[in-house]
Amino acid sequence: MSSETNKQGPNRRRFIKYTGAASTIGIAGLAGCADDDDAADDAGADDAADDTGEDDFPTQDIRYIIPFGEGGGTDTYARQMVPEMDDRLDVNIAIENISGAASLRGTGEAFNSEPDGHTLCAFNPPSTPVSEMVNPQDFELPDMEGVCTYARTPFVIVANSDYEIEGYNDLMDRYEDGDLEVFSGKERGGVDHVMALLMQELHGLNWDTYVGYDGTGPAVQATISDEVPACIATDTGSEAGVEDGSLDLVVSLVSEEAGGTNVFPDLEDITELGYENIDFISNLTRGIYAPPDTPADRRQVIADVVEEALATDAVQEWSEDTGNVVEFGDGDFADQVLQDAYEIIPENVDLEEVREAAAE
Amino acid sequence: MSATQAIIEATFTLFAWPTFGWVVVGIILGVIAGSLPGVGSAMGMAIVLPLTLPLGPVNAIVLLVSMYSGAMYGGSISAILVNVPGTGGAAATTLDGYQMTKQGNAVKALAMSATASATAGFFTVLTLVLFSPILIEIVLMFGSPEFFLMAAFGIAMITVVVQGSMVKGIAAGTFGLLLTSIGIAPNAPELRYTFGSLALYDGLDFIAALIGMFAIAEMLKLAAKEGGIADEELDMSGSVTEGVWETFRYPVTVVKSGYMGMLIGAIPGAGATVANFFAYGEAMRASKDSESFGKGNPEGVISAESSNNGTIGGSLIPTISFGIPGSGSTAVLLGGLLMHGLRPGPQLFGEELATTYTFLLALMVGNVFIILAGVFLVTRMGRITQVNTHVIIPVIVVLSVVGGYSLRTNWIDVLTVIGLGVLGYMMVKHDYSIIAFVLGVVLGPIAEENLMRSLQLSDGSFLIFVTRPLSLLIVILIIAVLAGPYVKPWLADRRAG
Repeated sequence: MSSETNKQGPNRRRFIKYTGAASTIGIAGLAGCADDDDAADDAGADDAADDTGEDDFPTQDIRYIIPFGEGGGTDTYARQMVPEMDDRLDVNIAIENISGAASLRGTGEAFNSEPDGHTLCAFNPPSTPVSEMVNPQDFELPDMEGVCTYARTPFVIVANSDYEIEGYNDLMDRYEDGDLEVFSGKERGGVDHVMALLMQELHGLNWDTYVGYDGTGPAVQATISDEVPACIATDTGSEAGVEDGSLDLVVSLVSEEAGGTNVFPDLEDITELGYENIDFISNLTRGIYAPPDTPADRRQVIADVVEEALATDAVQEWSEDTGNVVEFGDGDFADQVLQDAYEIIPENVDLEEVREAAAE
Repeated sequence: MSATQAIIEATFTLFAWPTFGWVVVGIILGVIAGSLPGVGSAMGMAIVLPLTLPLGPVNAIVLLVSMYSGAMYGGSISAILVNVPGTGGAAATTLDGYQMTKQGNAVKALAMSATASATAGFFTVLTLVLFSPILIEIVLMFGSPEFFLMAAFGIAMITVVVQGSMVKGIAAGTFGLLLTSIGIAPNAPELRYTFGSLALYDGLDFIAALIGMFAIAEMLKLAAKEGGIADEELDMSGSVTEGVWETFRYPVTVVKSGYMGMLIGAIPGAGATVANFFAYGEAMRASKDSESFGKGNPEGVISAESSNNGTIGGSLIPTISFGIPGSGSTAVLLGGLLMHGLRPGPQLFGEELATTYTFLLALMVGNVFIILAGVFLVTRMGRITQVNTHVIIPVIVVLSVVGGYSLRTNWIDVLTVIGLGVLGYMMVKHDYSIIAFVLGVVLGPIAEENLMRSLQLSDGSFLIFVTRPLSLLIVILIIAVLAGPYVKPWLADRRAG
C-alpha cells in the first residue's frame, strides 16, 4: 500500500519498546499526560494562552520553513499538504524556502525562532542530522521538538543497464573483482556517502572511489550516461530511468520490516540477502519539527491537522499516483528518529573518517 | 496511440477552452514573475503550483510551462529598461539592451527581445518534438569532463568579450572566480571563508551578484544624471516594427543562439545564465562589428534573448525523459508533473503522449502570445525610460534589495547586491570588464565542481579531458578561442603579404 496513513512504528527493533508510550501520548494529546520535558514546555508557553489555561493557538499565520529549494522532495510534499492543512486552520500557513548549507541554514533559522508554535520546520532525519554531525553547528539540532512525521523516502541502488548487474551479490562481486571501481550518490560527506561507507564496512561492498553529485537527479543521470556504473538513489528519483530500461534495479536498502519501497514492491532488500540492516540511515523519515520549548499542546494541534491532511483524498490519490509514500507518525516518533540519528550513526560511523574520506 | 494521433488529440485539447486560456494566463504571470528581480520562473512557478490542484493535469502543466516560457522572456524587460536583469538568463541582455534604451531605442529593443525570444522558443521546442530520441542521446554524451570544459570554454570567452585592456579583463574574471570559492566546497564538506556564518555556507548567490553589478552600479551612475534614463530629446516612437524586422535580419544569430541555449539548458546546473553569455560571446566573436557590442548593438540583444528561451526546450529533455530536473524551474515543473500523477519517462512518451504533446504545443503557441504581448503591450513601457531618475533610482534600488533578499531569504544576498553594486560602479568607471567578472562568478562553481569530479573519476589523471571525442573537440575549441586573436592577424598578414 503506497499511501496508507498509519501510526508508523520505528524502523529498528530497538525502537519497538518506545512505540507504546509514543502512541499513548500522541493519541491522548493532553498536556496533563505529558512527560517532564513536556511539562517544562508548558511552563515556557507564551502569552497566547489566556488566564483560564485555554489556548487559542494558532493566533497568527504559521511559518513553515522548508530548508531546501523550490521543487525538491520536501518542497513538493509541503506544497501538496499545506493547502489541505490551511483548510483546517483559521490561519494561513506560509511556506518559506530557506535553503542552503545542506539544510542547516533553514533548520538553524527555525531553531532560533520564537517557540510559540507559529514556526515549523520540515527536515528529514537522518539526512539533516548527518549534515550537522559532519559540519557541527552552534545550535543543538537534537533539541528541536518533534511535531510529527508525514512520509518516508526509501533508498535503492540502481546500475546502468549495460552492465547487466544481477542483484546486490553480483554488484559486490564486480567491485571485488575490480571490474567496477566507482560508486556514487549525492555529495561527499552527506547521507548517501555515509551509506556507501557503511555498506563498504558492513557488507563488503568494496568500491574504490565514491563520486558525489549535487542531488539524486544528477547522480541518476550520470549512471544512465555511464559516467558511473551504479549509484544510491531514492526510489522515486530512479523510477523513470528504470521504466525506460536505462537503469537496472540492484537492491532495496530498506528492509521489508520498515516498509520497503512502494515504487518497486518486488525488489529484494539487503536483509533478505542476509546483509545487516541499515534502515536507520537508508529510510529517510520526513518530519516536522518546532523550535525547542514549543508547547506540546500546540505541537499536537499541528500534528492533528497534518494527520487529517494526509488522510484527504487529494493527498492519498497523489501518493498512489506518484509512489511518494505518505505515512503519519506522531511527535514522539519524530523525536525518536531525530534522537536515534544522533545515537546510532556515531556508533556505526566514524564521522572523522567521513570528513577525511570526503576531503580526499 | 501513434505520434500523429497524439499530436491531433493534443491540438484539439490545446485549442479547447479553458486550456487555451491557461496558456495566456501562464505567459502573463510568467512575464510578470520574470521581470521582477529575484522572483523569476522557479519561485513564480512554485507559488502557483499548489493553486494548480483543481485544474487537472493538462491545464496545470500547460499553465506551468507557459509561466516558464513567459518568465524567460520577462527577464529582458527590466534588463532593457532599467539595466536590472529580472532573471539570470537576461544578464547579457542588459549589455546592449540597456545601451539601446539610453540611445532612445528602448521600444525597438523590447520588440526585438520579444521576437527573438519567441522565435527561438518556437523552433527549439519544435526540434524537441521532432527529434527527442536523438536529443536524449546527445545530452547523455555530456558528462562531468565535458561540463568542466564547457565552463572553461566560457571562461576562455573572456578573451573575446573583453574590450580594452586584456589584463584588466583577466583580473576582473579572476576576481569573479575567486568570489565563487566562498562557501562549502562543492565536492567535500570543507568550509572556505565562511567565518562561522551559516549564511555564507552556500557562498554568494550569482543572481545577487548580477543584480548588484548591473542594477545598483547603474543607479549609482544615474544618480549624477538629470532627467530620465533616455535623453529627453530622443524620439521614443515608431520603432516596434523595426525591432521585429531587425531580429529577422540576423537569422543565423537567432538559430545559433537558440540551439546553443538548447544544448546548455540540458546541462544540469548551467541553464539560461550560462547560455546567455555563451551566445552573446559567440555572436560577438562571429560579428564583423564586434567593437560595437556593449554599445547598443541589436545583435547583442538578439543573441542573448534567443539563447535564454532556447534553454527551455533543452532543460525539458532530462526532465521529461528521466525525471531529472536541471534547474530550479524544471524541478518545480517536475513537482507539478508528479503532483498531477504524470510520471516522467516512458509514460510521458507512451500512454501520456497526447498530454506531453499538449504542453509542448502550448509552449510553441505561447510564443505567439509572447510576440503579441511584447510588441503591443510591453513596448508601451518604453515611457519608463523618460521618467525622472529621482523616481526611478529609489524604485530600482528597493526592487533590487527586495529581489536580493527573496532569492534565498538570506541577508548576505542583500549585502552582495549593495557591495558588488558599488564595486561594479568602480569597475565601469575604471574600465574593468563587467562581463569578464560575471563569466567568472557564473561559471566558477560549475568549473570547480566538475573539474574535481572528473579528477575523482580518472583517479587524478588529466587525460580524461582529451581521451573522449567530445571533450577533445571542446579542448580544441578552447585553444582556438584563446589563440584566435593572435592567429587571425598573423594569417591575415600572410595572406596580404
